[in-house]
Amino acid sequence: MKEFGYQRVLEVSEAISVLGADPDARFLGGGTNLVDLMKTGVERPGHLVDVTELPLDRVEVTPEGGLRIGATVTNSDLAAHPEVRRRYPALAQAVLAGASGQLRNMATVGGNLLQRTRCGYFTDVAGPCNKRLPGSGCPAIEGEHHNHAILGASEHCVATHPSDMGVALAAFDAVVRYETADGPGELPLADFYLPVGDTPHLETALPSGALITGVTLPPAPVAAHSRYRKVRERASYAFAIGSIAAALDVRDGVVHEVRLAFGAVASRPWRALEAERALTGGPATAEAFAAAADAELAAAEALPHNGYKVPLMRNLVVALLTELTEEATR
Amino acid sequence: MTTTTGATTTTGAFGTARTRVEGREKVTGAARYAGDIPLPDLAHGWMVLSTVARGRISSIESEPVLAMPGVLAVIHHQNAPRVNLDYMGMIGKPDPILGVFQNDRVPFMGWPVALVLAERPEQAREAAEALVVRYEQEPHDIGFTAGHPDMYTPPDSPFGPAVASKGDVEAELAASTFVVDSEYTTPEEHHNPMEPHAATAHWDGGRLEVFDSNQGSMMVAAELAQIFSLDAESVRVRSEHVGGGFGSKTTRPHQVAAAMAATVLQRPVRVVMTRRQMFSTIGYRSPTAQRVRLGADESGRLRALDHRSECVTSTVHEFVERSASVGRVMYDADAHYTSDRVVRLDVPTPTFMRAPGEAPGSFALECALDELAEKSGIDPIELRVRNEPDRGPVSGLPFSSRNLVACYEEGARRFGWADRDPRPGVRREGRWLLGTGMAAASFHSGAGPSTAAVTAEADGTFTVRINAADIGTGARTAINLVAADGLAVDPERVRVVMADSDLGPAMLAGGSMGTRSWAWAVAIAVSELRERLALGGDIPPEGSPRAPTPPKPSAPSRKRSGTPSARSSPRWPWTSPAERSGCGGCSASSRRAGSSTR
Amino acid sequence: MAPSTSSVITLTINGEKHTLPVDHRTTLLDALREQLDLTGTKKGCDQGQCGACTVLIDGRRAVSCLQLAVATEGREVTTIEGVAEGDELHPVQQAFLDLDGYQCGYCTPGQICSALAVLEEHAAGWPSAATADVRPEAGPPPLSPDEIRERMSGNLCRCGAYVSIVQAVARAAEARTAGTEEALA
Repeated sequence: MKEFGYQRVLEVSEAISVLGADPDARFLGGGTNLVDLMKTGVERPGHLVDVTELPLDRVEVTPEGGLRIGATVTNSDLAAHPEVRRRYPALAQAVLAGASGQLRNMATVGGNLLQRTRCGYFTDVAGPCNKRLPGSGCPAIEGEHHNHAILGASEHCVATHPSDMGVALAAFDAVVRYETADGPGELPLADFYLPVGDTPHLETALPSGALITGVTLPPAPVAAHSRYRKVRERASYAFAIGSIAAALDVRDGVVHEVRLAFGAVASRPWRALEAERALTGGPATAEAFAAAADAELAAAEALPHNGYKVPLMRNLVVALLTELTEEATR
Repeated sequence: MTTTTGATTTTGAFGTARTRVEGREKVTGAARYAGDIPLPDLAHGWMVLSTVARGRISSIESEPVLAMPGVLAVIHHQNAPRVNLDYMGMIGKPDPILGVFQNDRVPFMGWPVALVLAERPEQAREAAEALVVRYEQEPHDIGFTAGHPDMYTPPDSPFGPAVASKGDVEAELAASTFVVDSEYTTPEEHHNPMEPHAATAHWDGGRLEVFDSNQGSMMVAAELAQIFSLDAESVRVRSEHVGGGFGSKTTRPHQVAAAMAATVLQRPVRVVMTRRQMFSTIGYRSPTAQRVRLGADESGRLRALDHRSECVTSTVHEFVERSASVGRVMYDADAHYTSDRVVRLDVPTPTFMRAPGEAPGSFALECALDELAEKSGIDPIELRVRNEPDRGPVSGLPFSSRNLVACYEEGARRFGWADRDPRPGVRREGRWLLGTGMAAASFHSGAGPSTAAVTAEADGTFTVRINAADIGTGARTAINLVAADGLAVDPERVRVVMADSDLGPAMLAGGSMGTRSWAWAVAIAVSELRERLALGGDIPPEGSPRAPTPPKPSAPSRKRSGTPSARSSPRWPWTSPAERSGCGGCSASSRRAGSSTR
Repeated sequence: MAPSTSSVITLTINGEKHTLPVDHRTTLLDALREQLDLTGTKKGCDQGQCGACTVLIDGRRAVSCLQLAVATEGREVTTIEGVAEGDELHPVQQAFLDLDGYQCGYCTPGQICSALAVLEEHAAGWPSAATADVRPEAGPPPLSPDEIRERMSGNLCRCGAYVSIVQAVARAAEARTAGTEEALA
């Protein structure tokens, strides 16, 4: 870890101007990912702008019945918030499924969205990685990739996005709010993460120097009937090998509205729009759920050691939607 | 105050539930581990490991690093003091990784190539990351595969021969009613104790002192003396608290590097390994590829037991994961063939890790037995009972003790074996599918020589001194209780001083032999002290006999047990391998097979 | 002009105010251990994966290995050394001691600090990943062994003392509930 300057800022405008003055500066939130990457040498900032004291730590219900979540809200506070648990239970569950109690106390919403992949090649500075060192190659494709992407990857990178929170946000049409020197801006989460293509090092569509100020969740009554399920290699405190956020509104055995998003299968939280289309207006049966999952996963391209994710995600879709259907008819 | 040992008679403390002697220190954070010892003027060493799998160091560009803030020195193969590795240590010949920075060869990725020293750990870390090391790379082979063309049969070792056989396995297999032929693989496994390997070394009055985290301070002290060509008395190693070992906390590069740096800088140096560095520098369990062939007659009696295991070692040191040898004591068969073979690849050297050999070997052999039970329709316990040997199946030697069949019976009783439904996947409890199964394993039962001293203090307490190591096993508490029972006093009146090479030679905490070995020495010392006190009556005001003052061993109260007595670095193991020592560790257990349904 | 790479910070540790110079790279963990000789907080992985370095910052548990010391300016830190009241162990410490909730002891300070926070988080009604229904209407879940295991999962114990650790946390929770009821009575 090289030496760096440090500054704690109290206003958003100050944060943006300090960062803008130094191309080598980075925002510091909870630090649970950034400090770790600084220790391994993946990140070598010259200056840290500590944004944890910015007045962005509120969760508020919007007049329309959605939520405005500040960027510095910690994962713990987000998951414990009654309105999150009431209106978007899958979001609370997703956050609680991530990391540990200690890390959730430190990690922030803004940082969660910007966290980097846990691909082992990305974090090993001794070797190549297109995301870390553009053009150096992707050893994962020939090497250890049992937990890498099956959707939306490219020959240049097969890393996954590790966020659980982001999967629930994707299902609920979250909009990311940010601030730049030119003023505020917004990006729907669907457009927030860039396609991998041949530029895996470019991860988000955030303008240069922008500070994420928060996330807005539009009202979604269906979200009150939602769940998040995460599969991992041990019972707790591990990244997903596959996860799913689902919300379902069933009326008289027919799918009125459904939301589905997948985690740990792509470079971004994967909204399963194909599956949603296939389900909407159709019967809420296990067969229909499986067919919808197949429709979504038709685009899956498995590597030699991650093909298990295709049936895993299919089973997750069927299991979670079946549970939500049973819950609705109880 | 005058006290006699008979004044407070407490017997039978051993075997009762006790709070750990050092428990309070552990729950309050007061227990100091190797990296916690404060020393004035301490410098911090950061290891630099190779980033290529095979080759030579062509250059180490230390000049820019030396100019960085706080950096004191960079030790590497061109400037490191020479060390000696021509010796036989307590657990065998030294792994060449202990010869840190002695030449330009890189035999695997993660080999120590330099040590950066700085005033503070942050400075050492950054300098270590910034240090440019260039290599001439050579083609490497790191792929362990079954039947690798370079697989060879290693020479016999103190742990047993590589190959043992009797009878004609092929003929017996051909004549068998039921045959199982299965392959099993196990992955490499890393010890990863919670406490990373750490050593704080300094020179104190002409002695090299090391605060270390290890499983045997005598072993480490003796090896450091050899490595740096010092008199054995010139090295003192202590490890009062050890945050887990699992076989990995022997003599390792960090102690050598710390001692070397303390010598070079002439000031105290601490070297703490990072979690990542531990994957290549402290040993690990080799992956294995095993093939088991069993042949049985109509009644399930084994005609043939054939178990061939393959494992990996480095190109610089041979360590064999002896997985196939478990069958040599477990099951009778008309013909036996067991072999452990190994291949040298460009990978780190494996080492002892939690039941080396027995763990992966039992897994394969017991799975094969289960498959034979399935094939023959014989109950898995009954099948094993039918193949229970009355003497060493290969050696022909009698067992000193063996209670395996009784263990089966008791295990079966406790688990309701007779009434179980053997079909898989029929029982569910919440998220879990539950099944029942059984397996057996054997572990050798040895002991090593140890010395212990017990002193009756003037205030009526007793001090036990023994160079034992408590790596979390509770050894300190067990020794306390053994001594208390032997002295017939309340355990509160016994103080245990341990984990200090100045206390004299003792067994290391390994091979499940530590507490057993130490307890013998303590029991004998205690018994002799009691006799002496009984003869002499009251303890004189100054205590009796006087405590020895380390480092000078004092004869009166120092009692030695075991053999040999005079040698300061006896070889391990002292006892015979498993088949001759019977089956003291045999047990039957129930296996809970589960799978998450969520 | 290059920014300064060190700062003088003031923070409260175990109730005592400390002012110390820190290299910005220094983590809270290293500051505690190397500069303040508070070595009860342990370094197990130095990358946020083992929990041995757990401390409380402003009453909340955090891994001190990923917390920069400079970013701890003005905060209140509780380490294992500050958990007991003088010679009197905290009920969580006593439970670990009585139920042998450890072996080698290296993860223990982090386990205990984490357990302290688990009791507070649970009392505050926080759900966990083991909570079947997270909706506030469902009410707080009982602190079952499953809940304890999930909430303590950020603290690894390589010796495998988990069974006793879960029992110790459960006993401390009972003691806390009994204490609260007593105080209310």
